[in-house]
Formats: sequence, structure tokens, C-alpha cells
Amino acid sequence: MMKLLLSLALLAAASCTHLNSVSVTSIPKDRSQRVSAERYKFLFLLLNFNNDFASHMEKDLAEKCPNGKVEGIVTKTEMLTYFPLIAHAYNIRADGYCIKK
Amino acid sequence: MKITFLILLALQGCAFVHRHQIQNVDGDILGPGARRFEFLLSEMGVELAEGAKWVSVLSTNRNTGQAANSVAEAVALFQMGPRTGNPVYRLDFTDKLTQELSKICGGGRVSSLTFLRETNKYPVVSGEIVKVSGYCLAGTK
Amino acid sequence: MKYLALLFLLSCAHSYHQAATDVSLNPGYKSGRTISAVGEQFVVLGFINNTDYVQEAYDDLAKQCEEGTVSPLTTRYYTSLSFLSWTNYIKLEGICVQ
Repeated sequence: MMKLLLSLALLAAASCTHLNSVSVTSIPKDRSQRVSAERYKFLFLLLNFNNDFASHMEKDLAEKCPNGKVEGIVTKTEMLTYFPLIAHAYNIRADGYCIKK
Repeated sequence: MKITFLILLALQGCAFVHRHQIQNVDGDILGPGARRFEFLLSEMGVELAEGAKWVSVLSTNRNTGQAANSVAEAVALFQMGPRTGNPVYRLDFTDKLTQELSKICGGGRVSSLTFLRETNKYPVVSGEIVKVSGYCLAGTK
Repeated sequence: MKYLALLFLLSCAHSYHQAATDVSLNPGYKSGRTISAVGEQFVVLGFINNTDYVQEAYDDLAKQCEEGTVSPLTTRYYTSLSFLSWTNYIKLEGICVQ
């Protein structure tokens, strides 16, 4: 019983974040207004039948910067492991600077 | 044991995100003159080592199973290198990307491009996909 | 025969990592010409300590369009898998607008 508990505790402690990718666009001089957008999808047993959650992120950014332009965008794609094989998640985060026209 | 393995393999019908890139975003995409576009460039990926493991698990003949395991090991040696999704046998599936983006908006402006590199994985084979989306805006600047 | 087929399948597998395009100027492409550059790096068992082939491809592309702007510019990054070794490729393609 003790061994089982210890194994479970070790597995739980194995939760971690893996950076799948990162990309950056040209960084503007005016960095006064920061905007961001984030998408998250929880995966049970690693089951995921589509990646639609990642769509339209650019619209989220544009809505935070109407009549402007978002530049210097850092996009990170992360894979989170809460419990190996059982509980995972995708997290996509984009941060940039809003440049007013 | 075999049934558990088969269930696990069947559950692999999954979509994976490898890379997501967002280029500079224009606020004008919220306007009435903006038109969103999206297209996919894809190619079939094949994981030979996984195929060999299938054969090994499903085979009732011990020799066949061992041979399949040897094939899986050979594949690992012959297909060494960094990987994104499954290996593909054609590379030209993204060749038309530049031209496609050049003509997609006619005389208008292409804006707020996003690129999603994803895999739709099934047992042994997969769809290796580059999903491109963006907006066409009126005007040339 | 089946071993030949297997060898063929083993010998020409590629892993496709990335494709992206940057558009900074358009629709000037109508008067432009298509240019491209390829950088490659052969790696044995991962023993390599630089990624200079990317800069070389970039310099090569820039040289082909010294008097103009390259837009759209597509970057493709893939690896050809091989026996205990592999070759990384970076392929840049764009339209040179004078």
C-alpha cells in the first residue's frame, strides 16, 4: 500500500510543462500597451479530436487593439502534464504590443 | 494484454499541435471590409516502427513477432533525427504556399497570418498538416 | 523484393517541422520575381555545435534581391532522416519586388 501511494505521489510530482514551440515577430519601438490572448484545452487520456481551440486567436488580439496594430507577438505553444497519461492540456499564449494608428 | 494494447492504439486517433505562429495582427480585420481565409496543406505521414509493433502484437506466430520487432529496431536506426509528427515521403506539399498567399487576396492586402503545424494521428499513418489562415483587406498598404 | 521496398521506405523519410510566411509588402508581387535559397546541415548522431546553415541561406536569399524587398517570404524547415544520421534543411522562398 505504501509503495502504491509512493508511486502515485511520484507520478503526480512528474507534472510538468513542455514548450512545443515559440515564435516572435518584429518588436516595435512603442511598447506602452501590452495585449495578450490565451487558449487552453484540457485533454483526458490524451484524447483530442481537433485543434479548433487554436483558431481565431488573432481576432482576440485585434479586439484588444481596435483601430491599431499588434506587433512584437510572442506565441508559445505548451503541453502541460498534470498526471502522466491521464490528465494533460494544451496552452497557447500570444503576447504583443498594441500600436495605435 | 493484447486487448489493452489495441484499445490504446485505437485511442490514438488524435490531433496534436506542434507549432502555432501568429504574425503581426492588424486591427482592421474587425472591419466590414475584411474577409477571412483558411487553407490546409497536408501530406500523409507513416510510422513504420509502429506498424511493425502492430504486427508483433497481433501475430500469433512467435517468429513473425520477433521479425517484426527486428524491423522496428531497424527502422529506428535508419530513420534517426529530430521529428515533428510522423515522417513523410513527399516534401513538396508546401511548395505552393508562397504563390497561394500571393494570389489569395487578388489586389488586396494579406494580413494577420497564422500558421498551425499539426498532426492528425491514426494507428501507423497520420495527416501532417500546415493550416494557414489570415485576412484579406481592401487597399494595398 | 519486400526488403527492397522496405529499404526504399526507410531511405527517403523526412520530418516536416515548420512552414511560415511573412508578408510585409503587397501586392507588389505582381511585378516581382521568385527567388529561393536552401541551407543544409549533415548531422551524425547529433554531434554538431552550430546552426550556421540558416544564416547562410538567409544571406544567399538577400544577395539575390539586393535592390528590393522580399515579400512574401516563406520559411520551411525539415529534416531528412537517415542511418544514424540526418540532414537538416532550411528552405527560404520569396518574391523579390524592386
